[in-house]
Amino acid sequence: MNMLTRNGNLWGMNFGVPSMERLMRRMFDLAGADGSAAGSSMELEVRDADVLIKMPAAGCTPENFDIEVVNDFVTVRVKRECDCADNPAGEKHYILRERSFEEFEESMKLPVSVQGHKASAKYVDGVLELTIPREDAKKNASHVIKVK
Amino acid sequence: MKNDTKNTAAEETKAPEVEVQEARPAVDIIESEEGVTLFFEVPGANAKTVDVEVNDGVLYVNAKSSLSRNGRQIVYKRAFQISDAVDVEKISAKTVDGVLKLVLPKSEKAKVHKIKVGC
Repeated sequence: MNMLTRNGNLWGMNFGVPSMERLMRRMFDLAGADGSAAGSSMELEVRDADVLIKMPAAGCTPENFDIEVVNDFVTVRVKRECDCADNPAGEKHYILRERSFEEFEESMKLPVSVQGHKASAKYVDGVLELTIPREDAKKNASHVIKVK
Repeated sequence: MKNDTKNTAAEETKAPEVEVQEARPAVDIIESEEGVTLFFEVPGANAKTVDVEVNDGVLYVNAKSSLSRNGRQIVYKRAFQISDAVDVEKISAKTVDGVLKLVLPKSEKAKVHKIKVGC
């Protein structure tokens, strides 16, 4: 007996293969399930001293990420495994399955030069936060000049 | 004149409204003999920013994320109609690493009770 029932448009039925769903989002440039643009879910903030990249990746652990910075090109690979701890036998009865547990990667070309070897990353509330110091931070830092 | 002063003061103390962008979180729904478990992907949200409400037989999930898109804060919203078999009083919620887990237990009446037939 199903304890959840469809509620008009509130229940978005979607039994498609996740990888295909991701592919279609990219193809038609639609907003992702996380509200992100389809081309990239990365959010970039260029600051005076560094750049901050945020990437949504719910249900991961820090070990799931493989981050690479080559010159001004950043690549993040995520390999997430299905959490079967609740049911080791793997005999779950899915009424609806939309979450994807496949491997994926996102890349981004940064608009400024960075020091990749000084990059740091943390994972908070399902969001990867990658901070990379700028190469020309001193040159581009804001200076307040007083007029005498 | 006094009224005008009051209105101006009220406007000054009013917090600026943050523009939001609604998003539909991906969900897994798993049914078991004990009830139904829902997993919502809400990256950037945590226990402080997630609201779960049951009103008139509809379960509403509202989660504010720390992420933004085009300068607008992402807010995850989704709703499901739930049956009378759910024990609403015992619904539990937990967020871990951007995943909201909701456990909707079956009420005792709705559980399957097997009865042995004696000889």
